[in-house]
Amino acid sequence: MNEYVLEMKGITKTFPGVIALDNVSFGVKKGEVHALVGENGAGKSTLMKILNGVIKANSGEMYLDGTKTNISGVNDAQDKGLSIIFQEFNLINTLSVAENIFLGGLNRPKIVDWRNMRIKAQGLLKSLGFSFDVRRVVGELSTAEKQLVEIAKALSFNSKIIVMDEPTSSLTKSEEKMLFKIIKELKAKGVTIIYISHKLEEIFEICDTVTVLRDGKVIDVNPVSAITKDMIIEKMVGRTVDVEYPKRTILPGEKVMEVKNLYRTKILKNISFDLRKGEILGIAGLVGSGRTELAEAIFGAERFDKGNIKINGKVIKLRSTRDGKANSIGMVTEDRKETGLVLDFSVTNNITITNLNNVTSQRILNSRKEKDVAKRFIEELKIKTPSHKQEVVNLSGGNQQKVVLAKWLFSNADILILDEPTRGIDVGAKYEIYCLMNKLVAEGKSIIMISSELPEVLGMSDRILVMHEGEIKGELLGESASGEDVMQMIIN
Amino acid sequence: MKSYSITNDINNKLVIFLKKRAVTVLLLAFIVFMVISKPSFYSWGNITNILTEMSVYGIVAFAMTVAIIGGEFDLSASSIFGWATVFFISITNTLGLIPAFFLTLISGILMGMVNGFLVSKVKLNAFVVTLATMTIIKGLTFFYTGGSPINTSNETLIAIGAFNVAGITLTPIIFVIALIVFILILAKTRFGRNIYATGGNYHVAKLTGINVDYYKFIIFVIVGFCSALAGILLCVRVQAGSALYGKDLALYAVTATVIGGTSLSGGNGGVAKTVIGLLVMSVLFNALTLLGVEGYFQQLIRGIVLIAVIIIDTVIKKKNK
Amino acid sequence: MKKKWLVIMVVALFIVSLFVGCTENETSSDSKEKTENVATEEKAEEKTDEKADEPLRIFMSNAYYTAPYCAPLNEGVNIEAERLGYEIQIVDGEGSADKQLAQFKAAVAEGYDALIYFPADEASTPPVVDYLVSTGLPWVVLNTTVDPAVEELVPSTIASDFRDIGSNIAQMAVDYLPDGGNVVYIEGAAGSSYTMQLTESIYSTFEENNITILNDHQYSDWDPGKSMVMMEDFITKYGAENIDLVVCQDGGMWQGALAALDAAGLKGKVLGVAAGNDLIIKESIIDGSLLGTSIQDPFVEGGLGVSTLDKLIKGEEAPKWAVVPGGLCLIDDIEKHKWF
Repeated sequence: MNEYVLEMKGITKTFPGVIALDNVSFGVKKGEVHALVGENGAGKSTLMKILNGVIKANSGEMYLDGTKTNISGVNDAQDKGLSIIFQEFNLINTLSVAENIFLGGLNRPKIVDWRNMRIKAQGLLKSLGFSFDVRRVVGELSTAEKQLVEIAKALSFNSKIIVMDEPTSSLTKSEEKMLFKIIKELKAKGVTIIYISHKLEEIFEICDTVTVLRDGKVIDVNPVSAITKDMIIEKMVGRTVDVEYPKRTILPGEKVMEVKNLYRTKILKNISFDLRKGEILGIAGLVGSGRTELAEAIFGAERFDKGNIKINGKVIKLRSTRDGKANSIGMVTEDRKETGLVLDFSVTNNITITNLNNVTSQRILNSRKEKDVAKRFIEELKIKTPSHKQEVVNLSGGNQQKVVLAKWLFSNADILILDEPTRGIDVGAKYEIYCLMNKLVAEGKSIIMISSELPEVLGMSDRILVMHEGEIKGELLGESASGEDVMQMIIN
Repeated sequence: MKSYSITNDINNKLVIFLKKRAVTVLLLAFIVFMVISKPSFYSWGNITNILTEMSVYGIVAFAMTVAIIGGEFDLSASSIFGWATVFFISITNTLGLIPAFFLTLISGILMGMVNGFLVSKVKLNAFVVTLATMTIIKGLTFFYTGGSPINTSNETLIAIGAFNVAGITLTPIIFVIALIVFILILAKTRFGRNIYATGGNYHVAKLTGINVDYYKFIIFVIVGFCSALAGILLCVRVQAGSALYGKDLALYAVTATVIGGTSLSGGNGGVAKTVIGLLVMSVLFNALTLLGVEGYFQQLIRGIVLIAVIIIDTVIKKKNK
Repeated sequence: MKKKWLVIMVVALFIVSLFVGCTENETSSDSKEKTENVATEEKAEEKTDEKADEPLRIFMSNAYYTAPYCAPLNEGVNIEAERLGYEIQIVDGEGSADKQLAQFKAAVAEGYDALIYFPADEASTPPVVDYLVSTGLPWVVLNTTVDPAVEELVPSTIASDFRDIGSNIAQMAVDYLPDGGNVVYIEGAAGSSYTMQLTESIYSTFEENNITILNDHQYSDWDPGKSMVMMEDFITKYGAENIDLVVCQDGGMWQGALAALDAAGLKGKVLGVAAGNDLIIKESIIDGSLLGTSIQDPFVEGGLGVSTLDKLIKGEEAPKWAVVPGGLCLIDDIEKHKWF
């Protein structure tokens, strides 16, 4: 018999003008955690969509437990024991947790047994080691909780194979640990997991085998034990990446921003810190520690009750984001699709939106000027786009993030707040963003960086503020701090 | 895949053009059909008739397009229009034409400001707010006139109504001016761009430092102003005012906007597209009469055609993605 | 790709064929009745075709095309036109003088031979009347009179005397309540000539005869449902014992009011008066819940419109105002009238 629980052979998929998958063969053994890695656009998502029956391959075959299978759609995939948890969750925000978990099954019995459904949902969450009210509406949940609901949903179908697409991208360290525990338990139960992630550390922590995709082709399949992180990166990007976090040489200058006793009931407790010219100040902490709220308060997007903020020695008024912008502050939000970009807008329009006065002549927008600005930034930030008129919705995550950065650079922001600047971005693009950050501080700008990825905070920051429950628990020097130091501060 | 032949490429471009402009293509096809089958359709008199017919409501459709681009919706346009006809005629009869003109526009702006205030500052749902103000303004109009339609024999107004250059009266001229002004504002000013941004993604616009509340506010002022202006233009045409006039105006304006291709979700589209929507509705209205179609059957066909147009447009756009 | 175009072509063909279909339908036979009796009618048509190569074509714009009253009216127009050998097209003016003006312009461009104008209201008629005069074609005004300022220009108006209908209704009430009393009054639509003129004469008659209308102006917009809700409110607000009579402007309003009375167990106890030739009115007069009605026969009105226009077309003398026969109808006269 075949040792593979799932085998895809010779899968080819073309979209007009693009070969997304080129004769890809992919096999997963029963009960293993199989990592699928590759840069954005390498074809991982396409492969998984074919697996799920959402799109059809031009050619190729698929075998489940050794028998040739055709999957006609999501429901069919679920019936055959296949679940995919996508990065953008497939949950309905207005329904309760329990309803979401059993959504696929809702159509089957004509009458919904609410009580039974709630008990079952509770049971599933418990088996994952969590318990919260399943009557809560999903829209109110945190990202991490939503993730749990997705996993519980997959379990509710008795899935034999679960695909997880970037499951940790919005989880904190401790939540991540919890997820890994869950994965190990699932594995022990004989569930096979296909694990897609950009975070290579995780792969070494929990995966058995790794398949690397690049440009729609399988580059390499290896047991995790037989490969190193650098080797994976090299295979992913097709070149050697020597330094993960680029070093910079300049030292921070004078104070540009002073935050004194910032207080907001129940959210922020007497936050004080300062930021220097040419400095990258990292903020570490768990999701929900008040990091984003702090950033929003500094930018003027959220109010604060007490305290003050000085820019270049002067107390500023922050009633709205307009005041933030007027004081040369810019904020790259954590969710670029929801709060960073107007997705229908072109690259040009997204960039110039922060400073339209700068591209007008006699109050009339000058498309020539706009084009020049866009082209300048496309070149400077190496934004990969077919043209400056391209709608950003079709750009990859890394390039979208660069557009968000460009828009704040165009507003002449001196202080940039970057909230999760590399979330969901592939390794190559991450590195480019890091280089860009270094370039910006070298030009005299200051950066506040919030990130859930500890290595990133440690690798990039001059100083690190550790936040927990709305408080700053301590400050560390980026050069000398370790992940343990940060965790220690959070725990104590 | 990489070796597209040149003819294929041209074909592709043509297909993309046709897909993007499906409604326009259908409209042109229909016009060609009409020209062939009914010579009277192609007469200068009939063409000016179509233009005049679409101009009055068209101006409101432009404002509605701006509102929809900005992510809002205004049902009260109908009532403001009705109010404007009554108020304009009544002031014309008492204070004269020029005060009537300005006072009516000001009253439209004020009504728009009330809508705008309730939506942008009090943060109420635009649908509910404008539904309420629609009823209030209608009530106010009835109250103002005691329910009866009124008319005027102001000679200047009648003269303005009769004024034309080769059959083109004042209304289509103002329609075209409004079209140009709106195109310029939307495409070429910071103001216009920010309306697109506000409608495209409210949160992004807000976090970008755009004064989103101001834009939400001003949208309703624009609709109020244009509804009042259109009301005045109707008075120029019929020299009478009634609270009942324009009762289908708001829906007409939305329909023209949507058929034109401006999405109800906001953030894209434009008034030039709305002209296509207006033409579809007006040409159809005119053609059905020319073709000798009975009243009930006209309604049926108009409904079917509107749905067919939207289906074709949607199907094509979906497949395009 | 092919599929997409197939879909588009099919839908486009569908739309086009609809148009072609209806034009052919219109030119080969001019009304629904014709298709019903194909055999006999076709012969008749051949005969008329021999007389004149093409039948003359009449165009009518009806501002309230979809109102219940207009269904028999349109039918009356169609049948009379057919009888006289005309081809007729009736379109919906949608309550707007602006639209009606556009429709008439289109019709003139298309070469219609005569026009019928059913106005939305008096006030907005002058520009339409001016235009109709300028066409030089024979035309008439149907149902609603025009603004006094342009009355002189109208060749002929076919309408009921609305004030007459109003005083008929009022007279029935006065006969029923000789010592005066309290009534509730349900009106059609604010701004409609019919409603305003009825109201005018009802108010003045009531004033002279000590009859009090309890409510302020209440408009049903010709909707029986709205009028039912109004009646329910009246019963609650004034109490059934204080309402001596229900006065309605047409059969639809009476239908609504009757439903409310019936639900409150007041049918036959609180009586009503109304206008129109609706079946519900006939039934109510027979069962005694309605005192009587002021006749306004839409079918006759429509027919009269066409026959008057026919006179103008033939160059004969036509009355300046052809009054649609009306008058009171109490229980004894029931069989004399047509009901719809």
